Amino acid sequence: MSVNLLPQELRPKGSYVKLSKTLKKFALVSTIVMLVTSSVVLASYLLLRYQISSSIKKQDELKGNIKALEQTEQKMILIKDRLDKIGKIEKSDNINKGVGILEDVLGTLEENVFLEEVELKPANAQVVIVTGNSLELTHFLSKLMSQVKLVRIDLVSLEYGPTKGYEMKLSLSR
Amino acid sequence: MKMSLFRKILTPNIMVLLGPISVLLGVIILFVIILNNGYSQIKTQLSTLKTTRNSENQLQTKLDKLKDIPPGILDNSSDVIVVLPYKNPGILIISQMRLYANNNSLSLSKIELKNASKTNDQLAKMQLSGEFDIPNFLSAVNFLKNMISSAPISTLDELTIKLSQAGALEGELKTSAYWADLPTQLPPLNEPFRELTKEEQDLLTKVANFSQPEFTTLPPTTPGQRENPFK
Repeated sequence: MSVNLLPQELRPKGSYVKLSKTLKKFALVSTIVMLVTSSVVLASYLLLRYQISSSIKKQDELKGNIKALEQTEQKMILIKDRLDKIGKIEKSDNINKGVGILEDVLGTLEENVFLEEVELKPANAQVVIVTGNSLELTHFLSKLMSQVKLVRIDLVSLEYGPTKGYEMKLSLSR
Repeated sequence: MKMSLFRKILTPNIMVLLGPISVLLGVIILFVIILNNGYSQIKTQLSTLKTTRNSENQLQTKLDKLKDIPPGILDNSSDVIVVLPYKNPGILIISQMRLYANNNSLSLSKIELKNASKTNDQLAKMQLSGEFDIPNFLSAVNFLKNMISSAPISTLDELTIKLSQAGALEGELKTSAYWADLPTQLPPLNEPFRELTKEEQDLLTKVANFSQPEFTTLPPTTPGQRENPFK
């Protein structure tokens, strides 16, 4: 049998003792939660560190493999550089289209229709056509319009001389 | 006096709560510190992992693309250098012009190289002009088509063909020759690798089919004794 020798006023009240017990339980639970959380945080941190270091290791390995293919890369860089510049040259003003127009115009010429002069510029192609009579001239023009792909045909001049016949200057663009 | 104040504050009721409250407070403070630090550390590590994974993927893609380049494309690297050389190709273009003029029965009467200059696109340019006697227009067209598809690359800038007083066809052609410095350095290792686009592949096929200039290789001669060292 226990004997309480403390004076009654030094003993805590029953409700406080009960609250103290509850608080102790809370403290225990909180400690457990804190320990579990800390372990999870630490484990996540270590896992991430491991993943980062293995990724860096893989990167080094890949860099080594890419370095081994340096010659291939050099060739590709060279090809791309040249193609880029060749593309710019091809896009610059030139008379390549005019050469096509001239070839097509030659294909439409008939027996008594002559090409006398050609001037090719990036913007257009100018041709001078000479023929003996107006019928052939009309026939040539209709053939030119139907057979040659052109965006615009401008009649620059049309002259007639009894010895030369009809001389027509056309400006053609594609 | 002091003792009695302590006794008044630290009553047995308070004393019985003090222990668990202090433990609980300590745990809460520790918990906040661990959560705060842990969260920021994990956040940093996650972003580092994301960055390294991205770099790893980029490198892997680059390696795969480098391994997948068809060998035919790489074989064209010497062709593109001939098409757009790193030195003035004026002499080569004149040689090509002469060759095609001969092949198409044109007679080259005058040729001129002038105005070497740099363009905005890291290209160097020089103007070439030539005068020709032409047998007929068809020969002139064939000559021009040969020039368009020949290496080194040149652009045909202007052409005039007229009947002379004597009734012969005379032509004047203005062209431009181009060259450009070679790239001097490789891009950084982790820079993404750009494959050839469809347009670039078509252009490569086109320029690889350009007719190449004919180079003559002189055979090496064995050293001999010079009888007269002053000749």
